[in-house]
Amino acid sequence: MKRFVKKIWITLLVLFFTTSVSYAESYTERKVMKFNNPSKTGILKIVSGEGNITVEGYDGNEVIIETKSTVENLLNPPDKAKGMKRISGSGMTIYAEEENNTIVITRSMQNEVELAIQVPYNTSIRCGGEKTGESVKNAGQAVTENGINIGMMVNSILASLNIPGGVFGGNITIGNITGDIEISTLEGNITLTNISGGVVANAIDGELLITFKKITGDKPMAFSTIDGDIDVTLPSDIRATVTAKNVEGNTYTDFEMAITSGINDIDSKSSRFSNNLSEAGTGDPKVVNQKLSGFPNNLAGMYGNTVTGKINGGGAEILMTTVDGDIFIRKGK
Amino acid sequence: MKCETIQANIPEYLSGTLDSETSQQVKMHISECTTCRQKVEAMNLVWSKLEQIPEEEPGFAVRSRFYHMLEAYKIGMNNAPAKKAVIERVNEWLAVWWPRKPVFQFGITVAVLILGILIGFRMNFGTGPKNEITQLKDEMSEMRQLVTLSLLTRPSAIDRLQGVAMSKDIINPDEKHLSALINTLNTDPNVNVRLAVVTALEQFSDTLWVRNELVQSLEHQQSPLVQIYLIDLLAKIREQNALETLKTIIDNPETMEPVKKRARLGMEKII
Repeated sequence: MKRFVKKIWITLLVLFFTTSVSYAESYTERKVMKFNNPSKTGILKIVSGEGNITVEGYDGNEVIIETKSTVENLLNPPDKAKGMKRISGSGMTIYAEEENNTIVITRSMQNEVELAIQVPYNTSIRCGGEKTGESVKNAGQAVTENGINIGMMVNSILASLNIPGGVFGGNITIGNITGDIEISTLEGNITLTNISGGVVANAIDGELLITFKKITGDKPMAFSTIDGDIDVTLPSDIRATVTAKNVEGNTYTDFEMAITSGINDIDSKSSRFSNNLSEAGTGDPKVVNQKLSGFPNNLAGMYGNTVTGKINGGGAEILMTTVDGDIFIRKGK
Repeated sequence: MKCETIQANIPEYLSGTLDSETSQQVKMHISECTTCRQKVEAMNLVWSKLEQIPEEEPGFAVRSRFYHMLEAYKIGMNNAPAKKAVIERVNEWLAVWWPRKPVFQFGITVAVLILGILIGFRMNFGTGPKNEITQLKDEMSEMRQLVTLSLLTRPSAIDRLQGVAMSKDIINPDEKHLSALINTLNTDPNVNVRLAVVTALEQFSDTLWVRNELVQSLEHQQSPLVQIYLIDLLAKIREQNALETLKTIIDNPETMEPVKKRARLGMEKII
């Protein structure tokens, strides 16, 4: 008991200091925007930059953007500016504009800017991944007669110049959203809670923790990371066909999953195990309340696996991939 | 009796074809009415004069001209016998079949009409549906391809994923469709969409063109995830042409260690 109380004290102290420190040393700005047509789904795009991002759905139709920055000249304005409000400048934290029911937020590339945004529940959120595509206006719609997408061509040209598609750093936390969410980030964890829309999330170095409240419609989804676990909680009544691919790790689930294919991709010499797995899966739905895939690395040639299974008879495809990490497919409420 | 009715009856009266009662009435009226009497007299005069015109008898010249004409007709008939004969024979033959009585004619017409309707129905319901179903199927797959192509160009990654998922259901995708998928694999800004394309292309990997494109794509992919997916697929289909690219990937110092490991295993499997 004593130890417990001590723990609480320490936690409180740490919390007090960290919050007070961060509050004391950050410059905060608040910006309120609106979607032009609130009856239609608005899109919030965060195009670039570094720093944590929090987006929370709320019961309202304004988009409230709070920025926190630790840039020196913002924190310590000159004495002459006393009693005045900063309206512009080189240390400008964000640039935001609304067009076609889409609010685009661009962060300064030099400085870390934290974003805390409140949006209407049904907003679609796109973080990164589209930066190069943005350079050509309406690129998505421009298709030549041969079916070649001009925007994608431009993207490929930019890609060949080694300009990355998503420039991002920092943790991304999103909650209470019914719209679709697309995230591409380089470094940082992606945490999505209480989500009812479709999700496409990719991180290079970071964990994915996604909890769905419910899933409306047969939306295909995909989650991938190179270095980190993927931990997904799906509604218990979801109808989905899940494909999970590990390279170094394993896949676990507590769903009753009918495995349709689970053959080790790489090594045919160890067909013993491939056969075992397909035997376990091809038949009737089975409780696979254990390791789904992944084999000890000491077995000859065994290295990573792909497993495909149907939940509640199957449905839209959900593709999960991690190179260095485990995959957890949890049964929600 | 009025003068008008009397006058209308004068010709019959003169020729004596009127019934006795009317004839008596006309006779009585003429004796009283001067105008009518004069009309009867004038008409009687024309009548009697017409009677005086002699009846023309055909003379010798006419007779000989007639036989000449007949002879000429016979000669003409002999000169063009076949043409006329065939038509006539056909006509005669048809006439034999065609019943004389209108009741039977009507019956035959109705029977032919019913037969025509029956054949028409057979054409539409017998062979028709098969054609329509295949046509519908073709249209459906065409529609599906169009929808897929349009989805692949959408700004939303979820829409593009939907396009990739739909393309898996196309049984015989055409060149345009496959090149759209390859294009997405090479240029889509979203890693997850590119991964989905690799999984979708697996079922089309028996095409030589697709295999070559997969090898070429592996040379240019920057994302380690996409690299691993492509290596695994190329290893699965045992694409010999991928060996050189796999070697380049292994030798490249910038390649991530897990990708190198994967490439080595891939090479082992292909060999």
